[in-house]
Amino acid sequence: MHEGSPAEFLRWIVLLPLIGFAINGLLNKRLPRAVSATVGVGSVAGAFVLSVMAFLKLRALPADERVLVDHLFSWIPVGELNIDAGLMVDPLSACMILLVTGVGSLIHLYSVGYMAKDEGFARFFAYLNLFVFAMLVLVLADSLPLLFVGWEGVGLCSYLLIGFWFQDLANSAAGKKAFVVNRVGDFGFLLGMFFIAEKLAGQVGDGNVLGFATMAAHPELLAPVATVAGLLLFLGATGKSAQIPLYVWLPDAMAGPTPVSALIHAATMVTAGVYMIARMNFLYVQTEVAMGVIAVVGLLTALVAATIALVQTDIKKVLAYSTVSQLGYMMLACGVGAFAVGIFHVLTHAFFKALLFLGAGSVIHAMHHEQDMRSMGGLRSVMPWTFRTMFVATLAIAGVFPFAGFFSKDEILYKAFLESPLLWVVGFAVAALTAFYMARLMVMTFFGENRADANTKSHLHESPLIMTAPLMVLAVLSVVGGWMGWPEFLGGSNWLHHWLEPVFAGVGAHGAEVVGHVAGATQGVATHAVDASHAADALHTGGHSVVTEWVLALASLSVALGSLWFGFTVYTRRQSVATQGQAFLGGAPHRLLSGKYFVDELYEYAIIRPIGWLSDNVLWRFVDAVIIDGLLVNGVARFLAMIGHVVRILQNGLVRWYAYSFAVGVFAMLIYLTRKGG
Amino acid sequence: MTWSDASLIAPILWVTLGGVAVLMTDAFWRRAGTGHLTAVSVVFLTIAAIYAARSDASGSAFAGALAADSFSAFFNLTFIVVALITLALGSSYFADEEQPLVEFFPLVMFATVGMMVMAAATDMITIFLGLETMSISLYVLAALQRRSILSMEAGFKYLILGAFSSAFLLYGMALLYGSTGSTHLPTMATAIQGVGFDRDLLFWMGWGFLLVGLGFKIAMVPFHMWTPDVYDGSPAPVAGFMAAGVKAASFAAMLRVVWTGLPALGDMWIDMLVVFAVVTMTAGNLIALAQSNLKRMLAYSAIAHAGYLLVGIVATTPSMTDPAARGILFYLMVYALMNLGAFALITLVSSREGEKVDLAGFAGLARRHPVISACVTVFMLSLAGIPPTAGFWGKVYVFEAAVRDGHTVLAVIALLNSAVAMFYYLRVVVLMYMREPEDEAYTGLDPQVGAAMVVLAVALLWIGLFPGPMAELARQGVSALAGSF
Repeated sequence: MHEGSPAEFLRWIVLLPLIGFAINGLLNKRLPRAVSATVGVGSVAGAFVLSVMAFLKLRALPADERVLVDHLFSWIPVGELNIDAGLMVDPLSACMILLVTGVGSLIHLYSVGYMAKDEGFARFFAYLNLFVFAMLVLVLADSLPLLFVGWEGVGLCSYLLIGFWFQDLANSAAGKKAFVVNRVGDFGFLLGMFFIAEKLAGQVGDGNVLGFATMAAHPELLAPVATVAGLLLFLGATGKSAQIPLYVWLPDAMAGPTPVSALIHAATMVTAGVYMIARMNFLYVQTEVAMGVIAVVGLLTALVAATIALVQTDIKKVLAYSTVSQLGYMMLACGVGAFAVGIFHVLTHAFFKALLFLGAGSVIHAMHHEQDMRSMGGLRSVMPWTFRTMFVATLAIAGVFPFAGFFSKDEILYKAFLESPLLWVVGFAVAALTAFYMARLMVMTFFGENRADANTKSHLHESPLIMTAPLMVLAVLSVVGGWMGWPEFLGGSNWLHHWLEPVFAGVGAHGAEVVGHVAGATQGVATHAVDASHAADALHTGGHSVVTEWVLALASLSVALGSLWFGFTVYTRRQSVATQGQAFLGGAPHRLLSGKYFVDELYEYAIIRPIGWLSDNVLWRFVDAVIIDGLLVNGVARFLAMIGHVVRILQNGLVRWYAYSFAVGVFAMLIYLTRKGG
Repeated sequence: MTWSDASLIAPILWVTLGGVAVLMTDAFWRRAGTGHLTAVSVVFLTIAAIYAARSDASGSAFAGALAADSFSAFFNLTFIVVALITLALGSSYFADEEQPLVEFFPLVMFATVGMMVMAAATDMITIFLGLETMSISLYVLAALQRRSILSMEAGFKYLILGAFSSAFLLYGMALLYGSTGSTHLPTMATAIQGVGFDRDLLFWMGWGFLLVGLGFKIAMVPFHMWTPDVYDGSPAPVAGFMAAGVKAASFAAMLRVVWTGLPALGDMWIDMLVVFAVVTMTAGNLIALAQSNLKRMLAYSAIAHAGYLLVGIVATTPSMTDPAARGILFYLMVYALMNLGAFALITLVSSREGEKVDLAGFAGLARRHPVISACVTVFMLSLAGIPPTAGFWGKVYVFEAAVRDGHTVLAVIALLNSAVAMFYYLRVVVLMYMREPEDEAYTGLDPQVGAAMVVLAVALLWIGLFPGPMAELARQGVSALAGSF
């Protein structure tokens, strides 16, 4: 990796949202709302402008020198473990900061309208700015520990924002669940980091031990721990990116305000796991096992979440499960070594899923915070712009050409097919389910008769421009956003791949970059023995790859259109929306799905209750009450009282006693020294 | 004395001049109040600080009696910072007395001179000179409040026991001179490389007595008994000055002395120091648990911290990259800051209501003074060694060095001690935030002391978040020491 050109303005990308947080957080209600909003939106917009500058500056450099660095300070100098705090922009993080600040600005703007009447207006923007700060630290970090700081920071903000309306106990419970579940993942992350640090400390000179550049330069040192560290880091990713087994917090996280769901729980934070794995690609290419686990877990998550989404009636829950499912796709891409494609889907998904959430927020806003789709319907005529933009997003997520989702999803499925046709089959099924539940969501919300009560009905209205404008911008992005990865077999140049290539240079031949780069792939074979088999595959498939790509693309396009059509037909023709799902699926499967496979219940009985019982009966009644309180606390207290008694004799304020104690010490020491030395 | 000698010890000279200047101001300007005296002192201390920070001249002055190097520069800066904050606390503390206690200002300056001489000394005679300059000033400072029987008692006890320990120190030095034929530390270091010193009783007794003398000043158990009584009786700013400055100066001298004896004969006496370290920190922490008076609690906490620092001494070896010595320097600077902060709280409370520093008096403080309470929380967390405060790094550096040096058991004991200590530090925080205030609880606010506390708290958080620069400063300080032997 190129050591990078210095760029001191990078720190301001991070600092602007932090300053925004400080202003809104400290002055809070003393600020007029207009000032709060200006500071909140302005700081992120400013960061966006700087991010664009960084991007342009990066693009002007030759491809293999595209790294900008801003060394901040020496952070943890402890013996051989020297960790610096520094920021780094390479093609990968450039994509991410543009995404975070760009989509972030739009969502901040939307929030001005959405939260207009809320009590905690300034507090909301303070948290949101703090989140953007932490997320930017996460993606700009040049070392694993600094990434972890951002990782924990976004987790904290997620907790604060899920429980934003903390007066309602259910909301704070949801926040707590997110926090605790993530703690499990973060523990894995920490352990993984320790394994790596243990291998590298003292082996790589005085440099930044856990810096990405240092680690990437010494893949051979990481080889012995690649599998264990890779799996542990992935455990962290399953927490943050809501994968099996730790996905359970994300649907509950919908308790937060809808802009939060759009920004944190759809567009940015939940993709941090995917980003981290892509960032650590030099580690993961060395471990077939971890890669296999990631691919399978991603695929299973995609499938499970998509099936649950079929029967949810809360509009945000459908989108939440849809997010989990799409994150599964991204993990699948990483697992088959197609890191660039995973990041591609991160970007396109951010556009259309943010749009879907904001659209849903617009609907909820109009429906007086009613989220149940069974009470909606017929909103198409009342909320034309919300409907139009959400329809674009539906086409995008379903994967209809030439909307954004088509390109990224199609490429993931193609890469999965190259790895194993079985992966493709399941992924293909998920695509069909996705189009179907989205059609269901659109029909139940926007078509048919309105099922709301009279009062709500009379107040239905389209949202103000400050909310619809971001929807429109995102709608445009949901159309054109995929074109940056227009594949070569369709006459495009796949710009994004070439852009990201320097970051994943080490991946070389590992399936990901093979399309049309067979010549480049053979280079990789020489350097990475692990990749040899994949390179062979690549050479093998390279011959008929164009045909395969055409066939697969047409297949996924037709399944998207077919499934959408099927969904629209089924749900527009049926009258009783409440029972149709059950009628369509049959009793038992429906119960299983609407019970979300009873995973929450399983965790409740298998983990939470036993821990509760253990804490209650063993840890509290025995360990705490008997051992700690009885033996240690009271025992120590008694012991101390005894010492105190002795001390009181000595520490009695009489100087002659002090001198005696002094003399005793001197004698003891002299005896020791004379025995030892004399 | 040549000009080059004078320029090498410029910071010491400026502080001395400052002390004289304060005396003169008071003598010839009848209406000079504490504010004026503070201003004069601050000017001279600032000049000294500039000289200390900017001096790139290093070398040996007065025929090897003093050394000007980055080690002494580091400590000079530490002492000047300590003196500045002490003056800030003291000028408002003593302003309320019927008769302003103007002696406070020159005495603090002269004690600072003594400390600086100790850190710069490369000869046993100069160490003794510095130590006595410092101590005699402090005896008077402790007894400064003539009308308070407690203050008188503190000064008197400190004087008697101090004289007792100085006798040991001086006797130890004499024996060492008899054994090695020199009082010049580098010459001694060369001498004990010779054959037979490991069995030279004269040498070992001298060594032991020297350790007793320095151990008294750092409050090493069992030479610690004066600490609680003296801290308790002394005026709060003076107690803070003692805790921060005296400890740093004595450890500076100890590092210089230890590095002469340690390389050749370290394994002979290192396990003795291990025992002292364990006993010191354990006794300090256990007794601190039972204190209900904040001043006494901090006195025992000071004893415990001396134990942690001894862990660093155990692990230290004279080399350019030694993490332990670096850790001690870092720890001493941080320890000075957090202790001054804690004693600033006492200054704040006791200056208005006599010497009432019962822990219960802090109940509910957060309700009335959120900023002050937040600062105190930072000091307590830092003393307990919890990130993101600077105290955490001090402990990390010292304990990590101990583990690296093979003293894992010692490091574990130190960690367990830190856990015990958590209780009494956090109790203050609990009292401030989670208890209802008592009726006669503290209500006033002295802006000068408050400002000092905010500065200290911010500094501790800053160093805690960005330990790099301070660690680098400490590393440079050590590198000079390693080079001089």
